[in-house]
Amino acid sequence: MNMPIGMIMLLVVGVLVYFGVAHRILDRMRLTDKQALLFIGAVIVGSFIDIPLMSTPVEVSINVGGALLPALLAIWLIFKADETAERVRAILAAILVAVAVSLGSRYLPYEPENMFLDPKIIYGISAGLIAYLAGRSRRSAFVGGVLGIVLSDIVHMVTIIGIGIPGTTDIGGAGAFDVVMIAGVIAVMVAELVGETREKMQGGPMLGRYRPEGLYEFSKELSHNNRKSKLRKQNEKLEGKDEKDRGEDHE
Amino acid sequence: MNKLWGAVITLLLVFSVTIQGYTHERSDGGYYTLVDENNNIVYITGWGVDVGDQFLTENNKRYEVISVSGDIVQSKFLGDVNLSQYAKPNNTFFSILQPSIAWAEASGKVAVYHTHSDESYIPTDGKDSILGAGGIYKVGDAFTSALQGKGMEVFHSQAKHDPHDNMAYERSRRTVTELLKKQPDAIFDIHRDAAPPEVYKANIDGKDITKLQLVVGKYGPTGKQIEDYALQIKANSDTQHPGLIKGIFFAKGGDYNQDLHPRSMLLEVGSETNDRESAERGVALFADVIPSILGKTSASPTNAEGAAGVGTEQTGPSGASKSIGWIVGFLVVGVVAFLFLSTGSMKEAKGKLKQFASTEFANFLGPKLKDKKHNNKPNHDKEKE
Repeated sequence: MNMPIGMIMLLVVGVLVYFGVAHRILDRMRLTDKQALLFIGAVIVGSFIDIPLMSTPVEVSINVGGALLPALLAIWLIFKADETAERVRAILAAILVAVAVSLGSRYLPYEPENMFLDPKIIYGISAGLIAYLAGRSRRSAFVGGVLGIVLSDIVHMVTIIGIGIPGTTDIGGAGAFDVVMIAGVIAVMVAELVGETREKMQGGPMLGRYRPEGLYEFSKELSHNNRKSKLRKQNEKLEGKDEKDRGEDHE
Repeated sequence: MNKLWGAVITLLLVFSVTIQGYTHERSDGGYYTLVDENNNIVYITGWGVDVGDQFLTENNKRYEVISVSGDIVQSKFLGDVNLSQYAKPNNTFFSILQPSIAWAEASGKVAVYHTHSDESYIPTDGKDSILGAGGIYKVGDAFTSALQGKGMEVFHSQAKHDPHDNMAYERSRRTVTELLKKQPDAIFDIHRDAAPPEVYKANIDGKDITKLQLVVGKYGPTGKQIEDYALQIKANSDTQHPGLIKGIFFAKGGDYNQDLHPRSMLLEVGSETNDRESAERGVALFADVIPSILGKTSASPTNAEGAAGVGTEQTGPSGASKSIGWIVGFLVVGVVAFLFLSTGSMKEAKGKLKQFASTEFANFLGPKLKDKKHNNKPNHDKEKE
């Protein structure tokens, strides 16, 4: 490729920032930093691999990096959820996102001159909001974003088979830059933004059993957080086992 | 009372956003006429326009829409755009930074695809939309063969992205990444517009052709770079075939997958009311411009440094540099916003940053001894979620 230095720098900065943000998002998905980095590496390599699923009446394939790996991570997150209610909420979020994407794609403007926001962002934000309302968690936001788009691709496949027009459904075909990954990342950012804003307005995080330990991160060095540290000790007794399991993931 | 007003304003805002999506649609066959401050017609388009949209007209005047009443759109003259800086080299220093010199001898590679696979031309194809087999593919074929005639390698994707809906760009994004694996120098998404025939009709070199409109995704992450690229295309086209480019539309609704390649462009070749043959002739003329844009005309790049490099003193920062600035700016704003929201005070924010620096880079640079001791303390607080 023949490109001036400005364009090459733009590509490098764009890719670094995108994967950097994705890394921060993924290490909130029950992955350690190293695992998140490995996952991103696998997504990049997997972007070059398409697995054909069927060829008639329409061609359907799934991209390893763009859909298979994020979907597997999402499904693993559902299985690893602490409570059944959380699992149900994450699955519900995914289904609602798929419905929103399918309806949105049909009724929102589609000409470049008419569109008012990038579809990736629209569906990422809706996934984040839906998942936050349904599950109030970053993980279900990720599950909603990723699985919602994958499901909407299946709806698209059924639609074009129904109308009987030629077409292809390459689920996650754009690899790391596919709407599957981008919607997952944006969804977590929205959940984070909405959740943190709400917590800040309430005056601090809600503490209790099954709440992430991250909430107690700085409690010791900060005097005004002393009340949290008391609560933390109580919690430690309650979830002593959990703590040990998760402790292994961190340096 | 204040609360009431707050609620009313919020409702109005929500409604304006919802309505915005629908008022654009024109199904009555009408079109919008854009007029300047003195009520002179400056631009005509079949698709809806909205306050804040920008246009670059054929004679390089840039306008912004200020109000829409009926079919008449009031626009504000923003200024003349001097395209000469995009057409001619103006600095030799930055050409040293051009790796393109080494590759200039090789013939260029161009990728072509169609996001809206159904788009067709009524006079020739009978309908404006033929799902899965739009006339637009024949226009793509004409562009392909014209480029091949210049010794370029062309990858014309036949992938279909129907139905013609809001997710079409996300489906064509997959086609774009597929094409990117072939490492093209430029990538074009070919469409047609929906406007009255005379808007695009032209006669160049004795041939009846349709003009082209370039569409730039203004708010994509690489929007500024694409804007520069569009101006560069128009500058070169104006030199070789004056009048071929009808104008540039700076659309605000997305990135149209232009974020995937710094030389991506959305072309609208004619309108559904023009005949397809004239669109094919128009796009073939446009193919003449491509070698000079890609710096393939001679061994030295002709027009890359000011507009597409890092920028020069005369031209100011290039679009690529501005885009880098936007991306980094958003990142910094995002990090600051996150720290503000997730922590209670400056002290806590600092603690969080410090912890980020000491744990995230620990594997890379090796943990500091002090941190190690600290981390090994029983009941430590350094656990991350």
